[in-house]
Amino acid sequence: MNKYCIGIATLMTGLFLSACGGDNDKKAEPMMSSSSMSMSSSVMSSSSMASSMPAKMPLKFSVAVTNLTSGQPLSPLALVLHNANYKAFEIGMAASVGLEKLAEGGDPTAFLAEADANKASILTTTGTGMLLPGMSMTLMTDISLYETDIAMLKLSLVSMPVNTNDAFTGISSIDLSKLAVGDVMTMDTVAYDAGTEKNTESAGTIPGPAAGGEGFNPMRDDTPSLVSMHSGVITKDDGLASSALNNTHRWDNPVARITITRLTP
Amino acid sequence: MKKTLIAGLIALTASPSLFAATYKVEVQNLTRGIYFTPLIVSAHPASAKFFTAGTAASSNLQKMAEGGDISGLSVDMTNAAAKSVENPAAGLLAPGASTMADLGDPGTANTQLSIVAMMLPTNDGFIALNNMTLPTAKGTYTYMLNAYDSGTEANNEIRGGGAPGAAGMPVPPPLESLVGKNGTGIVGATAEGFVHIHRGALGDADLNAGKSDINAESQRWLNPVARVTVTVE
Repeated sequence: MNKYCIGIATLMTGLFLSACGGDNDKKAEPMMSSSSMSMSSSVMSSSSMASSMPAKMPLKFSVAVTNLTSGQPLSPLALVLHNANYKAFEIGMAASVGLEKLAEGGDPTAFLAEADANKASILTTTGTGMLLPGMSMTLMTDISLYETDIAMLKLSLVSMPVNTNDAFTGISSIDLSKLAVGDVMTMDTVAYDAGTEKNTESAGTIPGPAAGGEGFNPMRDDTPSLVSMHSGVITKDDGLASSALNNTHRWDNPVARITITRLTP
Repeated sequence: MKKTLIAGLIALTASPSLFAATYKVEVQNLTRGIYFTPLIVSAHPASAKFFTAGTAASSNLQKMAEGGDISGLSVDMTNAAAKSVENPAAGLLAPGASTMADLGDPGTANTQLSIVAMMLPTNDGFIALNNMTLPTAKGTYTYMLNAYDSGTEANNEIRGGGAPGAAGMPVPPPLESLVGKNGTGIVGATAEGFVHIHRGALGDADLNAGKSDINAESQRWLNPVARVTVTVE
């Protein structure tokens, strides 16, 4: 009974359109395409050809990143366009070795190579050099996708605040499928802890300009050895005498602002 | 049969919230080293909120925030005819871990969602989603939760008790081995008197002495501290 009433409500108001699940969507699509075909009957044969062998559509996105911290340069940005079968990171899960290398040493090479090796990845790109505090940088992406793949298009981007042991910031699997040409999406990022290196803050373990210490080390000595939110740095100014950091290296969330714009290809 | 049909017809012309929606609420601990005590997840009327930021905590909120005891808040919710799920994780919710509370159909009067749990180790810190209007359209919704301080206990950051008014932090297992000992306490800390966003813990690097028993390396945090994912079906 309930189901019947909801069905009527859908037709009457459209309020539950998003709730109707895949079945209704599938019904709606052929209806729309057949009506457009009947309006231009001369194109029917070619469009039926096209529907059996659909063309790829070009898409272009600009991704602008601003470093909002006072004293944490961000390592070269690592950007991945992908579908649902790839995850750059997830809280509560272990970091990949590529992410570990990025979060401990700021080098995006292995992280991007992991993505490139994954069938779910569509495009990877990286920023040139560090993104210094207060500065912005824009990455451009040009891709061509079938419509069915556009529906699954996602963006991930990560970067290391380099005056830390193993912090990173970024976004994971942001849905781009509903972004129309001209649409803009802005989001703030927080700092995560890769969970792969203890946050000693000692000079030997921080690769950024505050210390010039070691970057990647394959040992995983943090507990828990999982990605989590970062708890911030303590610094010697707040009582951690062995820290190579001072008050200028502290931060609060958000750490970066990311603006994604879909452009005309 | 007749009743259902009438309800359906009313719904056609009125707000979609009159439809029987069911709610699943997932809570994830996002922190590096903070444990959450048993959660209470309640769909309730707007008149029955757990707390108001900027005002004094109720004694039942205090019980939860200082000792993780949700029994008082549970009674409050029962009295308000709310629908609650208590302790979905069956114990502490560890850093990175998630738990699911299935609220089912909370009924039309229970339009608000609130979630609280104490944060360990703290004196009276807690996570909160406070009196948020439940979405009614089907879909998945994500909310980020901040850490609050109930303002009922001084943040001395040393071991103590979880009973209301007892100084210090309760330290149940597995915190026993993770929290420091013999701290001298944060000087000058007092109960603030009102619920507010937690200022964070100081901690220190000495697990056997120092001013604080909180481990500064692993048991501080920055907001947000929890992610709530509501699925409306």
